[in-house]
Amino acid sequence: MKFLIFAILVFPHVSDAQHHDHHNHHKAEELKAETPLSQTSILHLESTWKNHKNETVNLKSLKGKPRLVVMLFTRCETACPLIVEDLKNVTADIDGKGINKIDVSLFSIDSFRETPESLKSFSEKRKLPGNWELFTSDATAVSELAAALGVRYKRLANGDFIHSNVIYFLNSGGDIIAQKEGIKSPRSDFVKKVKMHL
Amino acid sequence: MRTVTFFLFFLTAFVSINAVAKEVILPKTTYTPLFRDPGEINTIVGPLLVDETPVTNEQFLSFIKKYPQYSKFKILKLYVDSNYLSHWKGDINFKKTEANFPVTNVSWFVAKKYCALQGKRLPTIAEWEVASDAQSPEIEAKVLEWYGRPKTNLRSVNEEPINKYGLKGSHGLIWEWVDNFSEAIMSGDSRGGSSTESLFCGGAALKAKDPRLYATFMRFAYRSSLTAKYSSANLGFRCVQDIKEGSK
Repeated sequence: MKFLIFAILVFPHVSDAQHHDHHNHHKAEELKAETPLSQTSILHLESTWKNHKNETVNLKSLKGKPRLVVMLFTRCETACPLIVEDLKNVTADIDGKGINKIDVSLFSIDSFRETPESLKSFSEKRKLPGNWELFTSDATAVSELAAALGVRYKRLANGDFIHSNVIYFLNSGGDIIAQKEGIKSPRSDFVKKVKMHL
Repeated sequence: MRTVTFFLFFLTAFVSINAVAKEVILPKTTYTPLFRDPGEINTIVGPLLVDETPVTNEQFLSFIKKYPQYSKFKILKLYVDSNYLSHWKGDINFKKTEANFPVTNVSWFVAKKYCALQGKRLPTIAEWEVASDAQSPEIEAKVLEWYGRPKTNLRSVNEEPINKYGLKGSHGLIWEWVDNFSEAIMSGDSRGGSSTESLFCGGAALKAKDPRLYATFMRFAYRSSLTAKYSSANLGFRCVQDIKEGSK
């Protein structure tokens, strides 16, 4: 315990010293990373997820980069492929001709059947870019994230789900800045709001 | 030193006994959902241990003392709206006369955590509907009458009438949180064909099984209007606990 306190006290200084002569740009990024999360950040949720590479991920580790967030399930054959297409169009609008400016995180609602493998095959089948990450977790983690985002869902008798189709834009601190409800809704307003925050 | 420790231990034991909720057994029962989705069948609920009463201000206070991160001034704004515990004067003060009143002005996040930290959970819609016996005709009449009253009138949970499973205060006192409140997905017009259909994967074609169940329908509508941070003066909760097989 004493060592732990010692480590916490000492190591930040060590790392400060190491990075002392780095670029200002780096310093700004570090500062950003050290900024505490706001009171309303969804990254406060203490849940643990597995991604499509079978890595364990805590929500807090998503801090530092703005991202688009969607909850869906990969077995869904009706709206989910459409929402993925919608997401691709949105990111294309945001990026323009440039490179990826924004990450995408897809969280599975299906805590019963989703696995890192099913996420991986969905990612391959839909040819999702490298900065798109897919996650799965248990029922509590799913319900809390859905609640924090405002996603409503219901599991049906056949194991499928009814759920809100909403794209959320989160800033680098995990606060919801904008949302796009429904697949058929126009992209322009949403994209404009996202661009304003990038 | 040892005496002090012993005394503290004794005190803690006493406090926790005082704060532990009495539970009643809900036997295995069939629940017919109000709205059926394609392929949806009746659900079996129970056997289950259900808190006899909604969680009271006093019980909630012991929770806050143990987990101060959920107190009015420390709680993260992610989990609550500005109404959270607004009837409490401070972090740990409420009117002495309201100790046995149901705690209200609590969000789903906190209610869920409260139950989880006692080794319990919030009931599902099906479990709550069965345990409250709220769909029986005589209770439905009382419930409807209460829904029609504009003013919140909280009372001690101990003096509430007991229903057929032994629950107190399950109707005519407060609304109660359920774990899966967000399942109550309702479009502006539940007759279907509305423009909100594209919002939901699988569509929201929900049909009521019996249009006479107005009170049940109102609870459904109420739940569909909730968000997880929301709190209000007449919304409280109680916890349930699964009965492990072999132990009864």
